[in-house]
Amino acid sequence: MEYALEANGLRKEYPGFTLRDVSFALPRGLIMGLIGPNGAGKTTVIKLILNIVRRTAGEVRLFGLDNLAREEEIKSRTGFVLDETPFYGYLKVAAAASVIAPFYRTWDQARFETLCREFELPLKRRVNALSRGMKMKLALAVALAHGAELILLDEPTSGLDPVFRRDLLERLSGLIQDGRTSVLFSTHITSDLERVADYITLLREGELVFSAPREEVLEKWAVVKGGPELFEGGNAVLFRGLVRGPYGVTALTPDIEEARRRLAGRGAVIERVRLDELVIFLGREGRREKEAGRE
Amino acid sequence: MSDPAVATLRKDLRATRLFWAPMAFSYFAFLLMFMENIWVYLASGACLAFVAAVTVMIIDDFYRTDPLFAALPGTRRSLVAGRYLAWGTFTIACLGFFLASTAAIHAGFSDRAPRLISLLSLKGATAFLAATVVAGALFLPLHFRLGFWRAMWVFSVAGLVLSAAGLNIIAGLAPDGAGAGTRSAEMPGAFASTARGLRALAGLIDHDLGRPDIAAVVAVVIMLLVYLSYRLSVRFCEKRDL
Repeated sequence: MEYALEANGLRKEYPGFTLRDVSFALPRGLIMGLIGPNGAGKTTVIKLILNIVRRTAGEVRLFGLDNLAREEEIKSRTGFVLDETPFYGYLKVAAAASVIAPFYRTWDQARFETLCREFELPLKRRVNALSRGMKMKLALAVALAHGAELILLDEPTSGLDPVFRRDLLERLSGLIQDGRTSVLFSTHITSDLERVADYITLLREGELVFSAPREEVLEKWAVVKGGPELFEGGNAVLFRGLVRGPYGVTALTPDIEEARRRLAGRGAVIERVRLDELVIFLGREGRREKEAGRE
Repeated sequence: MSDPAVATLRKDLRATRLFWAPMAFSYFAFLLMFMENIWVYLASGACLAFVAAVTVMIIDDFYRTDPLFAALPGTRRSLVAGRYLAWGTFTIACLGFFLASTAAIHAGFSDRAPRLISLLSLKGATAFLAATVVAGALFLPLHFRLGFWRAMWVFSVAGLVLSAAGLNIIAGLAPDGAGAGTRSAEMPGAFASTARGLRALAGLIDHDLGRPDIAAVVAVVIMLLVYLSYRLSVRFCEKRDL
């Protein structure tokens, strides 16, 4: 299989946070959703791919090329939207783009202007006068205006209204139809990914929980509800992120078939999991483990 | 020079274009204010060239654009090369503006500033370039190591201390009588020595910097300094998270 992006043993150490040996691969022509609670390391992963921050260890390959050894080439084939939109605020939209255009040999000014029209982004308005959502649209127009083969988006839908969010997701789905373009899309709005993502990568507290095809994740993981006795003893290994409430226990299982087999006839409710539930349950579990580690 | 470095230069020019007219106006106004003393005039011209060259860094710091430009096609090395290229471009542009302003001020105020004409020479150009390029060569590695404002503080404080120390050394090395002035005697010891050093330095520039052989030596030393500064900046930038 040909990969647009491969991360192997990616590690970054900050005071108070470590991204630990993260490995995943995004096949060409697919969309990967990068999810996780705040502080999971999603932005760090994207910054490491773009060499905005220096990795402590590991390797990143884009289009089969090392991201440091062939930095200029791979960046010219990559579009990105960062979590912040740092354009010069006193410039007009057209001028802000003209500052960036010389960096790309394949910059398509006509395409940029078309995208601005489609995004209802006025070329003559100053960047300072744009709302956060409009600035995000400008960043998206820049990212899509040079025929990138890999598009890295860090929380691109935050600040966008639901209508434009839907448009953007449809556009991303349309982009990958050529079989050449791939998208890595970090977000905390997991419902977006349920529509478009082919792969899901979940990070928590700087660690990779899983990276797998979306269908496989949604088919294997499940939410299990029932009395506390169901989650004890030999069954405990089946469950993660246990939450004890007044009416019983709710937990995740990464193996729905095994849970069904073991809990058959014992009053357990087993439901298909949603991506936001994965983030919530595993996020809580991560926090509890971190607190236990401190004690 | 790689394309990304040229693109960085173009982005710096586009980002600052809006400020060129007010900057030129302020530059000319400051030169007018100090036209009666050519040394203060020359120092002001060089300082203002420094301000012009760092303007884009102030803007980049304000809008926190470092991650954006680091993510665009290019490498850390090309990012540094672009900064040095922009610094050189602003310095050359300021030199041209400085010389043109000097000619204009001399033409209009030759009675009040008769010595300004002496700066329209190899001596004037070499002194101007030496000051601005050396300042850039010292400031840029600090900028890539510490970020803009911390670098500015370190550069200002260290620059003041080192300049005073350097001038005192020059005062000690200068022959008796060189750099002596009537006002120096009225100053406290260290200040008197610094003032003597300043006068001795002015004397050196006045008498020797106009000689082509000395100007060539200065040019070689400055090129070496810029090369070392560039290597250091690349090293710092490559190790830094942006």
